[in-house]
Amino acid sequence: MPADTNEHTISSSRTAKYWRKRSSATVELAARPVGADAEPDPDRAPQRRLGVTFWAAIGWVALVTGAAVAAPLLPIADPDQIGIGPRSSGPNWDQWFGTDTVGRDMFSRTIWGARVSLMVGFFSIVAGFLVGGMMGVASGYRRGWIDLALGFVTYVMLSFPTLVLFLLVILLFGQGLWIVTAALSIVVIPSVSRLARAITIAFAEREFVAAARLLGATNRRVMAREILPNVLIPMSALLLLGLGLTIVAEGGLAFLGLSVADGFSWGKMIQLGAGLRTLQTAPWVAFFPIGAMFLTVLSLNLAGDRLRQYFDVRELGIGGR
Amino acid sequence: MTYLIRRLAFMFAVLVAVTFLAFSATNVIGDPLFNVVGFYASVDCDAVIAGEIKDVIGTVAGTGVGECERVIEAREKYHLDDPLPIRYGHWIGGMIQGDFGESYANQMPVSSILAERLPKSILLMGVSMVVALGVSIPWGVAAAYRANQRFDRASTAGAFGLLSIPGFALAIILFYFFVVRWQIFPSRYMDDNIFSRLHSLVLPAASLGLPLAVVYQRLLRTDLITTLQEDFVIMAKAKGLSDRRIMFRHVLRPSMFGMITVVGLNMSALIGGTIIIESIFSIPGFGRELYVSAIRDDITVVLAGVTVTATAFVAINTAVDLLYSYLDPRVRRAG
Amino acid sequence: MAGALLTVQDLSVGFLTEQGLVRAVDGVSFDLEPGQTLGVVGESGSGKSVTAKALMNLLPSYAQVGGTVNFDGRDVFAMAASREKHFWGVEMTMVFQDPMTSLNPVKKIGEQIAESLRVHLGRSRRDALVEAGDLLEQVGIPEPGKRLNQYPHELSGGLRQRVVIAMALACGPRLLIADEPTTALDVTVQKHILDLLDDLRRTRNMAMILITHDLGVVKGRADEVMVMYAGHTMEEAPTTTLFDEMRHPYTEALLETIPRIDTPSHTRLVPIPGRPPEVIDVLDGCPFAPRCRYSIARCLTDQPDLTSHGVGHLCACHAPVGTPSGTEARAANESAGTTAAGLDMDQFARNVPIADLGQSGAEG
Repeated sequence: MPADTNEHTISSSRTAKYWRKRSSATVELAARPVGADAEPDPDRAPQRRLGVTFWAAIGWVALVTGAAVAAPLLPIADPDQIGIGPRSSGPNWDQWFGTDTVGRDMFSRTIWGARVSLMVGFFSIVAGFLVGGMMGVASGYRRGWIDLALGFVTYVMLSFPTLVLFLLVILLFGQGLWIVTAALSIVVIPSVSRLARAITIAFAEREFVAAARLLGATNRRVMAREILPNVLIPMSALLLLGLGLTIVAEGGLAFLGLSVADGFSWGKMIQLGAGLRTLQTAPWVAFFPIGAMFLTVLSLNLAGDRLRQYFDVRELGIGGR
Repeated sequence: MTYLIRRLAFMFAVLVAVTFLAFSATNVIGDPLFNVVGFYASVDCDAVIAGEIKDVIGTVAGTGVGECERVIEAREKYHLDDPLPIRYGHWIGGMIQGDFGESYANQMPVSSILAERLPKSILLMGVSMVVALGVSIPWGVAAAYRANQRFDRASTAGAFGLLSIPGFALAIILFYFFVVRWQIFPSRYMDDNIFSRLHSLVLPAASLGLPLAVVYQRLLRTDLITTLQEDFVIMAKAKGLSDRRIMFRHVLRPSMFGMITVVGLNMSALIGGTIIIESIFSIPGFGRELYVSAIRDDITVVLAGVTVTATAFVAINTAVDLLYSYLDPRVRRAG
Repeated sequence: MAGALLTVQDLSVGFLTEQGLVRAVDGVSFDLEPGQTLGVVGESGSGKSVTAKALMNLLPSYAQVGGTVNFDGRDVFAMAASREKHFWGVEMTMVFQDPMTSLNPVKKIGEQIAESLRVHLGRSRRDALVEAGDLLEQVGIPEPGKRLNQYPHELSGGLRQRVVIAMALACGPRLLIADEPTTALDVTVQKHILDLLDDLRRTRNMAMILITHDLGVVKGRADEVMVMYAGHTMEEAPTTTLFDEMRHPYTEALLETIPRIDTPSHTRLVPIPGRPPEVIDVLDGCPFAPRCRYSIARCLTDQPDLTSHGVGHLCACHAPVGTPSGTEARAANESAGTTAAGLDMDQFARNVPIADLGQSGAEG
């Protein structure tokens, strides 16, 4: 129990009696002693510092992003040049990540693959947050029929199985960069919208919103000036978690050959390495992009989760993938 | 009672919206005729038959009439000249009567495709669900039992790791080790008997189920920890009940809300996951069929897929709603 | 003390926190004879509930427990260490404060009562349910057969507390700990529950520890009363002695917080100014000194030991109420306007004249 400013003099005049540690056989259940609060659940308690893990994770994401952006300037091999090294050779001094079955440099390809993965992932999560956030704030603040209608739209979106939705969109509109981005953002919108709605309802009851209304602010103004910032800041913590999700989703699409038609992303590279023969002879072709994607998503998850605790927001209910 | 009716009405409205959206999107933006008659879809067939246009695609006059008659026939058969809502009505009416139409690609009735493919996918999803729940429930209970102690911390770290591996990547990792390297499992789907089926499904179900298990474990753990703070847990302990009994008989049930809500909402992820996993493990299930059909613009099959999966999603989430009242009798009153 | 059912010696409970060791209970000792009632009285945070939880083996694993507790010749802490299965819930049981939350909301009442019988006494499901029905009848619940199949939310608070009591009685305990059993209930229901507990105790010859913040609750019900403050025993006496010849200023202050029928209706209840300390590490003086009207310089430096003030009457105070030293200390503080601990005497209500208090003490 955090002592407030009690300043009892600390003395050892009455020395310890029999303070023995309770035998470990007695188990901890119902950790609610009267004299002291239960150990705080780190999942719940707001964290005051971000910590080493957070910065290491951010560092990795920054490194990958930097490399992806600067790929054309980096002194690395042409990712599409066939036969830059021997075919299917393992990692070696010349080709750090080895070569694929047609002798392309895997290191260079892994960096270039990050470009599409990150770009599509980033734009779609941002779009999803903007649209979903606005929907959520509108339905949480206005309630009534707007809430009902948007709730219905959200549920309809949720009812489309994720990949079937992708299939449908791509079948109809093709595989352009923006089409794929839009398709991915549609998947994020329902969850974001639900969360924004919940946060908005919590905020709309607060005094400052009531005060703004009393002072004659219009609905739109209250929404834009008072609520939106308060919703967006905690939600931004979830942006990183969401980015991890969209990167993975893009990977799944690319793996099926449904993502952006031009260029290649990590998912596409994994697909190329995932054939039975390639796995037998050159498993690294699949495993380097898998590793890159894993580390990036892990970093995003770790950093995002830390931020979520920092802002004390509930988890984004997207769940699995 | 009124709640149930409202719930069913909502469910029905969602289904109508989903199917109508899917139907109109495929029919307005795509050209269903193209799949049947190919190039002739864009030819003015009435004019050809009437002999007004003599030279279609560089052929001599009079040819192409047969093809054009097929176009007219197809138009009538698929009601393509009717306005969209009426066509939707025809289509959905057929659906309700079990007539899912014919595949444009191979003229097979979609219902027989469903009958052949769907059971395999359902089996896969069922086994995956068993994996997901079978792993997550004991794991969540063990983690919450001694929250923030060694096992819980280690499992949190492990959960983060697993959560960061995309399902398809996990599938490839498992495939590489268990099929390519150690050859414990077959590389193709063996459809001989139930044992060979289950044997073939171990890796696919693990690839689908484990990522879900991690999500469920996290949710369950959090809810269990909250429930463990309740007074009735102290009461149960004061009754001298064993920890195991308290965890499984008293705490688990009221802690499952969050988890089963997400189980329901995750169905679309699971259905989507089968599409990828069935491709990797060469399972001739409905997910793979859906994927192939989408690639070759086989609209009837895709539409049937959307309808079936959306119905399943809505039905499962309605079932989840009903499950709430089993889990917590306090909800029954509201019902 | 040969006949004592429960012997608690020097019980200490500490919780290690970031701020240091919180000594929730510090050196508490008492005996309880079979069939007797001990009232434990104190404000929240006085350590009375922690004491109960220590006896019931309900403390979390990081609690540091010292002292010995003996139940009919059995070492309670040793049983805790060896995970004794059929002691708690059988011989020693507990009733909690809030019946709204201490029943499992998702299980039927019958199931919850029958559970103890099945687990501890090995009854079959059917037998256990029949017995559960009997128990419901014993605790005065109408239509017990129907109640068995109901869920807790379908019952009122008073009925729920009766269910909790039935659960506690299921295995025929020899000691029942009731932790504020009526605090969460309507005033009208409180007396019924207390009377029920008293009847059951008498008919079953069961010992009881009745924990409350309200001295009025133990009056006429408890054989002995122990007053706790900040984890320490302040005063312990047979109930009548305590009410007639209270020695501790804290007991006196607690008594003033009880609404009484004989006080004029407009009389303001006198709250004790200040709050109990959070006992981080050891105090030098008396823990109550900062809030005490009687405090003298010595109270701030020396922690008083329990001393005898008659048969079975113990009190830890340097200036006990009703003794010359106490009367003198209070008069001195009164004229100075502040106590030795610097408390403004004006904070105490003036409607309790010193003369009355001094008199009641002097009589004994």
